[in-house]
Amino acid sequence: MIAAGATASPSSARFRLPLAFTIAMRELRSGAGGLIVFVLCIALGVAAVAAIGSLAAAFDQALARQGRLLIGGDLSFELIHRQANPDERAALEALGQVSESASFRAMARAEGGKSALIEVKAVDDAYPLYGAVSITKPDNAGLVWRFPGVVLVERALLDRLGLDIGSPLKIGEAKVTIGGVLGDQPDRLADRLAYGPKLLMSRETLDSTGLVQPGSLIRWTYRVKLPEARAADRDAIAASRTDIQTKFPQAGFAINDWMDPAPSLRRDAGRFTQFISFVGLTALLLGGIGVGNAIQSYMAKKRDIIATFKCLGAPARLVLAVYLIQALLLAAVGIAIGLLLGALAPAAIAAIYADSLPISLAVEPHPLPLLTAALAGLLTMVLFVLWPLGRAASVSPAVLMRTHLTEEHERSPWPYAAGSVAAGLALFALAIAASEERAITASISVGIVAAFLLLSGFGLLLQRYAAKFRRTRPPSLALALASISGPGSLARSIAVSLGLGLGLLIAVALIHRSLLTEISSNIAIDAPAYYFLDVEAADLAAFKDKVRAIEPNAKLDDAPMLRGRIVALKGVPVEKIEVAPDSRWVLAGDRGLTYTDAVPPSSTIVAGEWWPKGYAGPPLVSFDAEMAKGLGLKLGDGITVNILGRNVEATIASLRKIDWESLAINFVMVFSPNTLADAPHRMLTTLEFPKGTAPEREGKVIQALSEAYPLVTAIKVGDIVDAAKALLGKVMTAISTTAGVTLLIGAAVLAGAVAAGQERRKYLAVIYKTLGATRLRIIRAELLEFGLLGLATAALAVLIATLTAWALCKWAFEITFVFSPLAAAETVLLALVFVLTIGAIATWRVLSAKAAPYLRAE
Amino acid sequence: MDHTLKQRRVPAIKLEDLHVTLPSRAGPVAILRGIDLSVPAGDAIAVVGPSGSGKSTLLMVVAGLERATTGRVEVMDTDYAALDEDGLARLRAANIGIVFQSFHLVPTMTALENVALPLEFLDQDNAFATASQALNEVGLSHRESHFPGQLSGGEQQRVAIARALAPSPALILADEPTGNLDLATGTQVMDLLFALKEKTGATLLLITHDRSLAKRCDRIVSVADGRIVGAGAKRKVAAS
Repeated sequence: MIAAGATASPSSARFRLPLAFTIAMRELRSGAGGLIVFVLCIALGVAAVAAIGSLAAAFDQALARQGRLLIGGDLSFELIHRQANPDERAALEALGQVSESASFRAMARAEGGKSALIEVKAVDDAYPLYGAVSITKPDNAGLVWRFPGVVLVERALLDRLGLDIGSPLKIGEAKVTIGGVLGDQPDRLADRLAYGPKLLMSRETLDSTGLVQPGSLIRWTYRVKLPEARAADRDAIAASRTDIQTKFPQAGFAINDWMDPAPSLRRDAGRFTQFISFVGLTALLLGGIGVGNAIQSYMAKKRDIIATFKCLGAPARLVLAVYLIQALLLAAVGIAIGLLLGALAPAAIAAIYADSLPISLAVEPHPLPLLTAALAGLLTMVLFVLWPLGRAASVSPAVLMRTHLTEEHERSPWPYAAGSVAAGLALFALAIAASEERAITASISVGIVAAFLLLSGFGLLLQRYAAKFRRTRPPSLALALASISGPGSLARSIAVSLGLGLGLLIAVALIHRSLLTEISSNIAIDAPAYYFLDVEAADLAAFKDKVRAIEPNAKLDDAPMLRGRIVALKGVPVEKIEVAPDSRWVLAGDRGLTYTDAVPPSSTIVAGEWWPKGYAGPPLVSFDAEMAKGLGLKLGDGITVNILGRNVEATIASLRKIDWESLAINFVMVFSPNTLADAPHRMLTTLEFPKGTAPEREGKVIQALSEAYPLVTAIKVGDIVDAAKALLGKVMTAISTTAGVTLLIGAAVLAGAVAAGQERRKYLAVIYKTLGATRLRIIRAELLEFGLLGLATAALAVLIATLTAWALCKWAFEITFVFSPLAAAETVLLALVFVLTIGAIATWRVLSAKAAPYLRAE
Repeated sequence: MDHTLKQRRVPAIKLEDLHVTLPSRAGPVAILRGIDLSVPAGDAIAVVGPSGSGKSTLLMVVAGLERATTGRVEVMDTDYAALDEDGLARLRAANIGIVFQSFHLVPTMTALENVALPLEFLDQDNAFATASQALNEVGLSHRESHFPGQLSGGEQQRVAIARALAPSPALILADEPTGNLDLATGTQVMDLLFALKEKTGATLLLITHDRSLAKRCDRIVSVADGRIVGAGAKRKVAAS
C-alpha cells in the first residue's frame, strides 16, 4: 500500500505483457458466455476452409501415392482401334514388364433375352502389374478370370439381369460363365466414365467373343512396370516416355505415368476446389462478422471494467492487450475446433462416399491446408476484432462512464483501423497466393467484398425505408418498423448474415435446375433413343431393315466413325500449346471423327465452305467453330490427327456451329471423304422411335438387334443422361453443402447479433408493456420484424441469385436459364424458418423479462 | 378518464397487507413487508423514504409491473389478482400513466411517436393528433420529430409526461421524475406535472426523495425497510 502523500512511480502505469495476461485470465475466469458465438463463428469458418483444403490435399496426395495403382503400372501407353505392332511392343518390353489390356463397351445378354450395356476389360496374364483384383464373392475365387470363358462382373450387372455366380452370359459371339463378383481393381482411373457395370475377362476369352474387328472401338492399353531402380526416378520415367514418342512419332500413343496419373482429373479437381474455396472464404468472412459483433457486444459489457482499469492507471495498451489476449485465446479455441473438424473431413467423406469416389482419399491430416486455414482464421479474427478493441481501449474513462447508457460511439484510432485493413488485405493475399489462377481469384475476392457491401447497403436501405412507414397501422407493424428503422436495427445483420448463404444456395439450385432441364427436356424433344456402336458398313442395310420390320416409322441415321487424337495444331505439338480451359478436353484424349461429303444435320457452316462432292484434293477438315476459337484455330490452319497409328494432316476448310443438344450424330472434326474412306472403320447408328412408342416395342427392337448383331453395342441415351445427371447431382451436392455451411455460419452470426441486442429488446418490450401493450401485440411486433427482414433478405437473395445464375447460364455454361419458382419459394421458406426460429427464441426471452429491473432508476 | 371514482370517493389505490419478496443469490429478500395504503381518487400522494426502502417497488406493484407476493392490490376498483399480464397491460394503457426518473423513452421513435404509442395501443384513430396536442401542452411542439437522443434531459422528461398523460389516465405514477434533472429544470417539470394533474383531475402517486417536492402533495407517506413508518396529514396543495 502506498502511504498517504506518496507518489506512485510512473512505471507503475507502464505496459507489461505478463500483467495483461494475468488480468485477461482473471476476466475469462468469470466466464465468456457472450463469446460462444465468437468461438462458434471462427470454428465453423476455419472448419470450412480447412475441410476444403484438406479434401483437395487428400485427393492430390492420393493421386500421388496411388499413382501406380491408378494407372496400373509405372507408365501406360494407350492406343485406339489397334493393337501395338511388333516393333512397338518390343520397344515397350525393352522398358520393363508389359501388360496388355483391351477396354471397350459391349452388350451382355442373359439367357432370358435381357441385355445390358457393360464396360469390358480384357487382360493378359501379367495383369495386374501393381495391386490386386478384388473379388467380393466367392471368397476363394483366386485368379478365376484367367480361365477361358470365365468372367468377373460387378454386382450391378447381376442385379440388372437377374443373374448369379455361375450363370451363363453371352458377350458378342461367346458364351461365358460368371465366375465371381468384381470389387476394386487397379488402374481404375484409366477407365472412362462408365455407363454400365464393369466386366473383367482374359484375352483368350476376348478372342472368342469376335468383338475384335478392324475398326472396332477398342482401347488397347500397355502398362509397363519399370525395373525397380528406374521406377522411382523422375528422369528415367521422362526418358522412357520420350524414347517411345521419338521412336514412334506416328503411333498416337496417349502416355501417362504414375507420378501424374490423371492430369485432366487433377486439373478439373483443382478448378473445382478453387471455386469451392471461395465459398469457404465467404463463410470465413461471414464468421468474421459474427466475431466482430460478438466482441463489440462483449466490449460494451466491459466498459465499466475498462473505465475502472483506466481510473486505476492502466494505460490504453494494457487494456488493449488484456482484451486482445482474451480474443486470441478464444480464437485459438475456435481455430483448434475448426482445424479438428477440417482435418476429419477427408476421413468423413471417404467413409460416406467410399463407393462413389474414383480413388481412396489420403485421410491423414494435411499440415499445409490446416496451417493456411489457421492463418486465415487468425487474420479474420484480427480483421474484425482489432477495430472494436481499439475503440474500447482508447477512450477516456470519463467518457466510458458518461456514455454508460447512451448510444454514443467512440472512434477507433487510425492505427487499429489500419491494422484491421492490413489483416483483411493479408487474408485476401493468402487466398490469392494459394490459388493457381490469381487474376480470377483477385476478381472474385473483390466480388466477395462487393457482395458484403451490397448486402450491408441493402440492410441500410431497409432501415431507411422502414422509417418512412413508421406511422402505420396496426400498432404491431408500427413497432416492428420502428425497431427495423431505429438504432440497433437487425436489418443489416440479417441481410448480411443470411443473404450470402441464401444467395449461394438458390444460385446453385437455379443453375442445377437449368442444367437438368437442359439435359432432360431440351434433349428429349427429338433426340435419338439409342446409339449403336460398331455396326459393320456391310450390315447397315440389313440392320435398318431389322428395325423397320418391327417399327416401320423408326428414324435411323448413321455415319462412319473412327477415333483419333489431335497431336498438333498448326504444326505445334499439343503438349506445347496453352489453350482455353473450356477447350482442353478436345486435346485431352481421343475424339470421335467421321467423314462425309454433306454438311451433317444439326450443324451450320459459319465460316468457309464445304468441299464439293467427289473432292479429291489435299485432306480437308471441318471443325467445331466454338472449339476452334478456344484452340486458337481459324480457316486455313492445319491440324494433325493420329488415326490408327498414322498422322493425318488436314487443313481447316470450314467451321461449323453444332447443336450438340440435338444428340444427332455430330463430331468436332469432320473430314473430307478422301482422307479417311480407306481406313478400316465401322458405323455409328442412331435410332429414334416415333413419339408414343411403347417401351415393350422398343425392348423388342433392341432384343432383335442384339440377337442378330451380337457384336453391336447399344447405348441407351437415357442411361447417358442419367449418368450425367448423377454426376451433376454429386457436384451440386458438394457446392450446396459448402453453401449450407455458409448459411449455418450466417445463422450463428444472426443469433449472435440478436443476442447482442437482446437486452435492448427486453428493455423496449418492458416499456411497451408499461405503456399497455399486450403480450400478443409484442409477439406480433417481434415476429413481424423478423419476418419482414427475413422476407426482404430472401427476396434480395432470390433476385441476386437469379441474376447470377442467369449470367452464369448464359455466358459460362451457355445454356438456357430456367427460373424455378419452387427453388425460390424453398429459399424464402428456408429464410423464414431460420429467421423466425431465431426470432421466436428471442421473443420468448423478451416476453419473459421482468419489468422492474429495467425501469428502476440506475 | 374514469372520474366516477372521484365522484364516489372510491380509493384509486387500495393496498392491504402488501408483501413483496424477491429472490436473490443470498436468498429471498423481503422488499415490502405489509403495506396498507388507501389513496382517494384525485389525491396526490408522495411516498418518501431512503434508498432501498421499497418505494419504487411499491410503485411497480401499483403499476402492475410487479406482482404482490401476498396481500391485496386494488387499483381503479380493479383487483389485480384477477388480472393476467395482458389484463394488467390493458388496465395500464387505459388508466395509468407512468413517469420514470430515467424517462424510458423509446430511443428508436421520435418524440411524437413516443407520445402516440400508448394511444396506438388503445387503437385510437387520432393517436398522432392527440399526441401532438399533448406535446403542445408540455411546450414541445417544435420538438415533435426529434429522437430522444436529440433532446435535453428536461425535454425528455416533458415528453415522458406528455406520453403518460396523453391517454388521460385516472392515475399518474411518478418515480423520482426530477432525479436526473437539475434543480431549475426539475422544478419546471414538476410544475408542469402538477398543473396537468390538476387540469385532468387524475390521482398522483409520487415517489421522491425530495421533501419539498413531497410537500406539494396532499399527503406524504414515509416508507422505511418495506413498511409505512409514517403518514402525514392531508394537505391542500398551495395554489402557489
